[in-house]
Amino acid sequence: MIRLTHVLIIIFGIVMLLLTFNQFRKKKLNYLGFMIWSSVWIILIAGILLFKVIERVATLFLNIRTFDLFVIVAILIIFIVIFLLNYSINENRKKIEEIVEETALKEAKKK
Amino acid sequence: MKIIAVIPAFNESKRIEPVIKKTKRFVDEVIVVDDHSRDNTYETAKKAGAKAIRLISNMGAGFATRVGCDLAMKNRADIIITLDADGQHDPEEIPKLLKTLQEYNLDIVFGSRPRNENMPKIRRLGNWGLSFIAKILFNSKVKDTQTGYHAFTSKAYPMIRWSSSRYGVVTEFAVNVAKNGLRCKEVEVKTIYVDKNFGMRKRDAVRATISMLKWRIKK
Repeated sequence: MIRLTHVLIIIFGIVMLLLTFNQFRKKKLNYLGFMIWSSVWIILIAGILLFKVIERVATLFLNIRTFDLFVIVAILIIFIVIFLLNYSINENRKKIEEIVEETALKEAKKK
Repeated sequence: MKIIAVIPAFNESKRIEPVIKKTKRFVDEVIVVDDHSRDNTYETAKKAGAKAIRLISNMGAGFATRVGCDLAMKNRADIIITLDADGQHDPEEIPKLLKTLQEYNLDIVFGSRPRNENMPKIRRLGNWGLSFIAKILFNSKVKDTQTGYHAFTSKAYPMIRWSSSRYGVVTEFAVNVAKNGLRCKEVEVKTIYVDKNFGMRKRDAVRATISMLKWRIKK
């Protein structure tokens, strides 16, 4: 039986999928980013549609409730995203530092 | 022997002129790195006779000092002196630092400020705390790791070159000196606090502590 919360999560997943595609079309998201985020939303929608299957897997093999499984997976995804964001911020900071230093030293050389 | 002073500056147009003029008396060249100030620090520094460069973005005191030192190295400095732009460090004390550096054949001299009543209480505590942690983790013998007043040789610079962009620079500086076993000494300088609300914040002190732990693990 599909509940209202399931419908809302599916709508949320579809909206996010459309937003992701829109960002990719505007070239604000690269191919890898598009693939990763699309997969996240598709897995979310599929997870709700295949709720019964997941429920069986969760109780049979993992001996946990489906909701618990969702929470654990969501937390893991959040940690991965934080890690990737942190890495990307540090990389960008290094690049900015290089550019600023290079520009400053070039300016000094001109004088 | 070429001596170059490096002064990082941010919004210091009102205070930087006398600092440059006094510093010029004791060194061959003064490099001012304007950290994208909103006032006319850059123009004031140039007028006062310094070689001024302006960063295209505000990057922090640590970054500005590093750029200045890199430039000093390119300009073939033998000795580099770093000091603040706000008058916190009296340039009249440069000869004292230089004399100690040369007399004892050292790699670096720290301008160490006594923790007296001239230093606000909270900064006294922070200064003591960070210096104590550096002592425990890296066996640093420097009593005032938070000073920005240094004199060091160009040979020592590659070993102490820091990666911190903001106020963590002074801690990393002292840690690199200890880690590389460089010959150093402290020279007492005046404790001057021009703006008691400006400078290293509690947040920076926490960050510096975390960074020290990271550097310790990395080693």
